[in-house]
Amino acid sequence: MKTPSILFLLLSLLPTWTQAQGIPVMDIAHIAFTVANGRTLDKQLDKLEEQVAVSYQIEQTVSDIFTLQDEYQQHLRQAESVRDLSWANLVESQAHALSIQPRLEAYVPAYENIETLKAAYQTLDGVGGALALYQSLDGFGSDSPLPQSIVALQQQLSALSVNRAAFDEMAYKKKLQVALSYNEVAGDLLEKAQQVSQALMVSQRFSMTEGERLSAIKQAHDYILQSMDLKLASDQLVLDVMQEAQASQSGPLKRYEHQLERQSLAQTPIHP
Amino acid sequence: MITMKSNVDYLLTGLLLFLFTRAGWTQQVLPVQDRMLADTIAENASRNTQQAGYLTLISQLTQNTRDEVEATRELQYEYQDHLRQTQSTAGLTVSDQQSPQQSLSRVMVSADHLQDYRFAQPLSQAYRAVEEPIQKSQKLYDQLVPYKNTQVFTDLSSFTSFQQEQLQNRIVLEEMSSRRRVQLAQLFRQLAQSKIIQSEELQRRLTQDRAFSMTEAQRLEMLCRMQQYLGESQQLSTQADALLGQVSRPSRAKAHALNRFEQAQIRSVLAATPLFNH
Repeated sequence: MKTPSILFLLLSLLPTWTQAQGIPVMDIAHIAFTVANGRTLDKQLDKLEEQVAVSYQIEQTVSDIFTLQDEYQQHLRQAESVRDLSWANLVESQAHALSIQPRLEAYVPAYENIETLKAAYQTLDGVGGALALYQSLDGFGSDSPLPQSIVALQQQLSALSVNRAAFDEMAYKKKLQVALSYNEVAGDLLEKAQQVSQALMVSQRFSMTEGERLSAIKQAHDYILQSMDLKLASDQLVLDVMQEAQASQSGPLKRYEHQLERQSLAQTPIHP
Repeated sequence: MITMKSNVDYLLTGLLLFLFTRAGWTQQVLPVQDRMLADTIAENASRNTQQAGYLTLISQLTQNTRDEVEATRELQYEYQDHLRQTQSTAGLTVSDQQSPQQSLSRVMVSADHLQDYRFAQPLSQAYRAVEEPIQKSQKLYDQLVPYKNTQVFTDLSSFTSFQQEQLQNRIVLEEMSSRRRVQLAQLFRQLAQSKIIQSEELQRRLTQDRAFSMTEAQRLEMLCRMQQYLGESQQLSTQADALLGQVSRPSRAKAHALNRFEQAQIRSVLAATPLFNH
């Protein structure tokens, strides 16, 4: 913008330089048109001034739109706003659920002679593992011929019953663990329901549509119901375990009782 | 650029005028001087220069606007591309649907253990045959159910051998079913474990900045789903144990056969026991 002002100076000096040589004249029509041109130029200037203002506004708005878009995309990538909810921390709130062990000996460490069952239970993949597990639980099948003698048969049966007892015990213990976990999760769900329904009510907390907000509130309600269901399920599991364990152990227990009775009878002297 | 050029134009015109007057070329023409005209033209020139300045400003602003609009469009395109990419979820174990599907189909293919028994050949054929459903079920019924209203037995031996055959067939079928149950139970346990791994992994990603681009509602929903996964995992592992528990009790036909075998063994021991031990 420096050059034009210098130019002006030059141009305004121009008449003074040429003044001396010229005969003073006055071209009225020319002057009139030039003045009229000047009025037009003034109008144009006003319009341009307006145009500058509008362009500036447009530039600002577009730039705002860009920033908004960019910021929202950044917002979509952040996880901070949900991180501090206890929802996000599954590892702590679901400790029981996560601690279910895939290994058999975690539940029945005291059993002996169940190595094949343990190994079969350990391998999850493949037909071989499944067949081995079948073998150690069912015992008699196409791939194991029936034993030749009554003694061998009884041995096989007793090995089988040890396997079954170990397996049952593990299943019961695991079920109890699940029951406890349900109990824990029930409490956890209540807490989560509270927390999320509170967070959803706070303005500026989450950015979501009303539909999403409503469905999140519904989710919180569902959690309360689920929590009640889980409490019931937990109790039911414990009852189931009690019943099943009683049913499955009553046979061996009875036999053991009979054996003890026989022993004491055998040792009772006929003539005291 | 434009203003510079017009400035140069002004300068050139001024210089030319100056040179003309100095060089005396103006002597052939009559030099006149119209001060008023000169003043008004000079005013117009200043207005023109001002306009040029405004136009420069406008063009600058317009360029900026264009750049920003372009950047916004770019951002939109980028996001659309982002929506189309699968990279960010490709490595997740959740998106690995293939391995559970494969294991299931393996179970379905390999769990047909009917051929393990030599004597179950006809049953196996009936089971595998591609036939009309009614005919096939009729055949299976004939092989498995020990009574037939069309067949009349005249002697005891053919009756017992028929019963024997039926019993064997039932044992075979029950064994197949329980083997399949074991395999499915293993599959359940596999799924239970993978669900835990999946939910842990997802939870890590969901609470990590820049891993996923999603709204908070979606994030919350995913967290909900992980809660579900964990519950399902527990259910699956107890379900698997329940299935295995069913297997660990001998099936009816097998218990029957086993019982008879045990009694036969006892009878043979008794028969072989000498009456007098000397």
